[in-house]
Formats: sequence, C-alpha cells, structure tokens
Amino acid sequence: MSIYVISGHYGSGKTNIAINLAYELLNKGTVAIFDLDVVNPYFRTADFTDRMRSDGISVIAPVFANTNLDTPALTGEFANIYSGVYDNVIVDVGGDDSGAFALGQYAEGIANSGDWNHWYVVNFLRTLTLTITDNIELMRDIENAGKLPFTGIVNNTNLGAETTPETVLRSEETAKELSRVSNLPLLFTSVAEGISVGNATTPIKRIRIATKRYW
Amino acid sequence: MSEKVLMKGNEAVAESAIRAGCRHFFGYPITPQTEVAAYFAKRMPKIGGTYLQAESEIAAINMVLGAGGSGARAMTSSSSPGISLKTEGISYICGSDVPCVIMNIERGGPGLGGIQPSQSDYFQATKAPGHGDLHVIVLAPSGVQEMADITYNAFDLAEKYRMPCLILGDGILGQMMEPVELPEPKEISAEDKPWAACGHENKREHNIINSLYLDPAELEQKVRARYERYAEIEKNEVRFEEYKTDDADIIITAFGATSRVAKSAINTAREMGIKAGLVRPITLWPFPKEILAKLADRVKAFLSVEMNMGQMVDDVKLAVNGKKPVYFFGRTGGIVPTAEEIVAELEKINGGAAK
Repeated sequence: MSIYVISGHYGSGKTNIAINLAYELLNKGTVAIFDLDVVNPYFRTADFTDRMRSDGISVIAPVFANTNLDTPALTGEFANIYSGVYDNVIVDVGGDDSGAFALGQYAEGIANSGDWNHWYVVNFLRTLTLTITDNIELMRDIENAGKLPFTGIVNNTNLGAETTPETVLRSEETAKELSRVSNLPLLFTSVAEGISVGNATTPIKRIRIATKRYW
Repeated sequence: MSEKVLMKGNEAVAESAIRAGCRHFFGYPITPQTEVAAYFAKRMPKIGGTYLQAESEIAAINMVLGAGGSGARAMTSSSSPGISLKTEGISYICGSDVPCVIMNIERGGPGLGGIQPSQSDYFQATKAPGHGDLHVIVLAPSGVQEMADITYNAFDLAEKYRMPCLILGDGILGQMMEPVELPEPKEISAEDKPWAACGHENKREHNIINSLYLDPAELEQKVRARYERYAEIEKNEVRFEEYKTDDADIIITAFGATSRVAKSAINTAREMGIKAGLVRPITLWPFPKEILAKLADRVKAFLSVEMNMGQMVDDVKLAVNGKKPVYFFGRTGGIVPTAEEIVAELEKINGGAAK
C-alpha cells in the first residue's frame, strides 16, 4: 500500500495534482482519493467525483461537500486511508495549516503504514507564497497542524489560462532554492499539456487541468 | 508594471485594499468570503496594519465607523447574512458622512440560506443597505482583475463623497482564481481629511463624527445636502460595459459573474442568428439608466439575467420606461444560470431561432 498526502497553500493546485496522480496510479492496483478539504467551499476534488468513479477511482469526500451546508463532517470511512483496503491512497488536504488540522487525526496511522509520502505543492505566483521565507513558514505551520512531516516538493507554478513556458521556467530556480533550504527533494515541476518546456532544468510531469467552469 | 500573480477574487480584494492604503480591517468569518479576512490576518501584522476579528459583524461595522471617522482607510467584508447584521452600522456611517469600503460576497438566502453563489442581495445593496434616506455606492466586479481594480479605486470614491462604497460580489467571484496585475501601493495620510476626528491638539475646532440631530430642520438640511452629493454621483460616476450592443435586437442586462455566462450565451445565440448584446452595469448604484433608455429606442426587447428571483429587472424596467418589453430569467438558492438556459430564453423572445 502506498499513501500520498497532498498539502500546500490554498489555491496552489493540490486538487489537480491529486487527480492527475490518481489516474497515473490506476495501473498499479486499486486507487482511492480522500477529499480531506474541510475549508474550501467551491472548487474541490468532490467536483469531479462522478467522472473519477466511472473511471474506477474510489472517491471519499466529506459528507456535505458541495452542498449548502458548511459542516466539515468526515465519515468513519476516512480510517481506510491507512487500513490497507486500497493499494494506492491519495489524500487531498485542505489549504494551509487550517486545512491541515483535519489531517492530524490520521497522521499517526499514515506514519505507521510503511510507504507514505507527504507532498508540499507550491505555486510561486501566489502572493502569500512568493518567497522562500513565506514557504518555509507555511510548511512548518502545515507540518505542525497536520502532524506529518513533508517528504518532497511539487513545483506547480502557473498563471491559470495565461501560463506560458516562461512562467514555468522562471520558477525553477526558486523551486530548487526551496528544495535546498528545506532539505527536501524537488519531486517534479508540473506543467499543463500543450506548454512547451524543452529546456527545463527540473524533472517535468505533464498534468491535465481539471477545472469547474460556470461559463 | 508588476508581474502577474494568480489570485482568488477574495485575496485580490484584500491585497488591493492594502495597496490602496487600507491598514484597518475588521471582520468576522463567513463562507464564501473568509479568505478576505484570512488574507488580511496574514498580511496586516507584517505591514503595521490592524486585522481584528470582531466578536460579531455588528461590532466589526462599528469599528469601521470609528476607524473611518478618525480618517483611516477602513474596511469590512462579509457574506449575505453578515451584511444584514451590518446594516444598522452602515446607516450610522452614512449619517455620519464617513468613508469606508464594505464588501459582500453574496451567498444564497434568505436567512442562513446556503454557501453557494447568489445575487439576491441586489435590493438590499441598492435600495436599503440601512434605514433612513441614504445611498451607498454599489460596485459590481465581474472578474478577479476587476475585483482588484474596483477595490483600489473604491477607497478614493468613498473619500471623495464621504460615504461607504459597497463592493457587491458573489461566491464565484470570491472563490475563483485568475491571473491579476496588482496596482501600485500608495501611502495615505489622515491629515488630508479636515473633517476627521484624529486629534486637534488645541490648534483647531474639534471635529464631531455623529448621526444624531436634535433639530429636525438641521437634520433635513443635512439629508438634503447629502442628496445633492448623491446627484453629483449619479451624474459623474455611472459605469457600465457594453458587449456587442451595436447591432443588437435583444439586450441582456446582467452583472457580476452572471454577465460572464451571459456573454457565452450571446456568442452562441449569434451563431444561431439571434442578435443579442449585453449591458453590464459596473455601478449598480448609480444605475446606468441612460444607456438603457437610449437602447430602448432602437432594440426590440430586454432580458435581465440574475442569480435571484428578479431584482435588478425592476431598475431595468424603470430605465426602459415601458418603451420595450423587459423579460427576466433567473436561478436562485445557489444555482448559477447556464448559457444554454439563457439561449433558450433568447430564442423564446426572438420567436424561435432566426432562419
């Protein structure tokens, strides 16, 4: 069993990274994605539940996700994060330390499960995570609240629909610097399909962007 | 020009307010605007500003009255039920001629309603944001960049006319992320405000921030003077966007996030041969009456599309003044109208798709 816990600043792209990872792991056995986000009301993993379920991915979300209720209730099913029921488990954590509080109660079970990973997803073009200091501070806050240390960094720097190759390439040095200062490996830089980054200096992973559109 | 960043609407409002010189934010958390408070909570201590989570929305708006009265750029934000709680304070602020910025990221109502997006506080914002003879300037952004720009300018507008500016957004605008270019930071001094109660040091008459008048004649005179200022605003500050109105037969009126759905619908309708266009009010008060009155001479019909049961449509009808039919389509309770639904309404009005 492998567990991937995905944390970071809210709006850093955790949900996209989580969904892409779920599809990537489909050829390695059963996959479950746990939407642990008890903070974000609108744009979240649970938006894509139907599509993922029909593709064979188990989706476990808070009871009232995407309803009119602001009640962050997690069911007993969340204990299956580390019970071994699924071969691959992805945990999409809510943003910041406030989101990571929900992770705390599962941290011990995850840490005792053997193969676990805790990824810090960062977009260096978000105003509260522009600098190394901002990020180190936030990483500590998340680790303290979620009670689970990070094991790697995912550079998900983007400008949404206006992302260019330069957007990505300019972020690489900062990502490497964060890796050095935090003493954590930079796992990959995620880049949306269709953006050419031939001269990248960090490992590149292609991702498909899942977004909810109203218009 | 600064580098573009990726922001939620709620964050763009907070950062832009800081750049406009706002150093006093008083709030209380409520979905879907909590990021505004969360953002200020992180940034204010680092720049010598004050972020204060009040014990209630009522306390927060009265702190805005106090801070604004002392000449500081002060702001509060909430979502629908919280704004209802603030209305008493808004009335006192209007009665005291104190500038401030208030934001409402609307959710479904009435009552506790729900946390999904809505525009059902249009009446409250434009007709009665508090008791008494009063108006507040109501600004309706439709994207993250506009949320930043409108917030930045809202403080200047509020100070120019010494009254509250209300930014009326909805849950989509607050929560969605878009690239944004942030405005340049500026420094603000309370000393530029001769009316502010910021300490007279025995060098001038003391200023009083007050909305109570014992003499009815004096109160009437005060209110009349205020209405002269309102007339100035109606003359000078009306803002709207026109989209494909030049050859349009049917004009959609929509504001905020709904206007973006309307634009998609207009493009689809035009492919079907229906000449539709959009007038998007950016100021909801003052309402862009003149453009609608002008278009009423030329177009066949109007369709107001809103995330409510029909509120702005009343102002559209007043502006059109019976010259042409005014139809309404809306969804409410947190449901966002789809482009397909709007196209179907346009087809009905047009008498079926044109050949």
